[in-house]
Amino acid sequence: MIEGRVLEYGASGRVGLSQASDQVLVIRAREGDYDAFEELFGRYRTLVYRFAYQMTSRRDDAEDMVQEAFVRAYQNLHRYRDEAKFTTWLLRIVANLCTDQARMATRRTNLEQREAAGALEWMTLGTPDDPVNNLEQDRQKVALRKALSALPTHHRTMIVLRDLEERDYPEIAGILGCTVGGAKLRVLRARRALRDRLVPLMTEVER
Amino acid sequence: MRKRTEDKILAAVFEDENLPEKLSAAEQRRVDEYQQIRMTLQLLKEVPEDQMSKERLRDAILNRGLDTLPPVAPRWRWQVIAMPLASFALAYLGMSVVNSMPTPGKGGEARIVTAATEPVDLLPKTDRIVRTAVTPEPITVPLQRSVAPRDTLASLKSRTGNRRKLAAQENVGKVAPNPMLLASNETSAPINSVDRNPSTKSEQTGSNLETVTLDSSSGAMNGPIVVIEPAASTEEPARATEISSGAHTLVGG
Repeated sequence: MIEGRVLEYGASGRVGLSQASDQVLVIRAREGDYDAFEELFGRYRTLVYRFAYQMTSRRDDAEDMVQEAFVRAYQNLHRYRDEAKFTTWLLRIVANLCTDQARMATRRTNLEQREAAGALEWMTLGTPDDPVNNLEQDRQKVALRKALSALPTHHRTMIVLRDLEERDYPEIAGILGCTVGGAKLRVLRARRALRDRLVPLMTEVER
Repeated sequence: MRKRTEDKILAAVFEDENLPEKLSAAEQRRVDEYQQIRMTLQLLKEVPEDQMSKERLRDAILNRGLDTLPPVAPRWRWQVIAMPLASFALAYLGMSVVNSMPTPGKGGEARIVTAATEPVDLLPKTDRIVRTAVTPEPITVPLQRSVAPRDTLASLKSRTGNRRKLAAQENVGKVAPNPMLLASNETSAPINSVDRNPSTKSEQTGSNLETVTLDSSSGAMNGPIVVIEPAASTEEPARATEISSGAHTLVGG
């Protein structure tokens, strides 16, 4: 509250917003200050985008998901409770969006899009510095990306949160709404599932 | 491979914990697999730049965000509901506390005091006789509505200010009921007039009691009357005599 008053009497509104905590920004955004919400967007859009990209593996889809996540966040700011971090709440929205999108994806056939994406990946593999080594790495990446995409959404979420975004277990538990022990168990199962999908692909790559 | 061993290998590789000392060939192969997966996962951390913009988000929110945003509820709204409830609860609590207090009529924790010795009759015998003689039949007298004389108003004017004068003018024509005089239509003992002289003692003290002057000469007292003769000495009790008519009786000292 005191911080909010300091913001009100600050000489420059933008400078005050950039120094404000997430809590103050959320309060101001709730009261209709759109600049405060844009400040939150500027702070966390990369975080949300990274998570969305790892989940979808496509930049366009990830950007759409970021936009959708922030729109939903803006619509539901009154539901945000102060006991959780704003990022935790935001990532929970994205995780729910990924689940929804995965359900929708199973209903439609997008084989053509996947084929097109595969062709593009093949054409862009490797870099001019060390073509052979990079080619091998890129193949491994493609295999891992495929295995990751083939995983069920709940397993993929765990791999992305823990192994790619390196979130700690209490935060993962907060995002998923489970206990820390439950989060650890889910991560363990997800890794095992990834290995089961990846090993055949890796042997294929080695051949 | 046992599941428990695999879990240990997983935790060792991904969470940087210590590996089991003795590993079989299959376990070592599994360790290598997981380490390769972890290394490859590190490569996936690279993410292309996003092309998100604030304008795009603003358009999206304007298109479909604002209409579903609920209005910000004022913080005092809950107080409007809470304050009457709180006051009602306080009043209820106060009432229940008052009701739970012991009252003499209800008993409860009221002390019962018993006399240690025989009760002593402190009243003289004369008073007892008067009470027994007077209480059975209250005097029923019809009240006549009378207008206060102008002399009374004049005396009020000279003595008091405007406030009391106005109050007196309002009371003119109104006769306050005297608890000792029960008005009835049965004219058993008519009274000629009600003395409302403000100079009388009752008026000066501010009490509502009125002095009733019984004009014996006009023969107004026709009903029964009790005459009490005070005791001449301590040995001889007082006398009360009931007279059928008070026509020839002088009331007063």
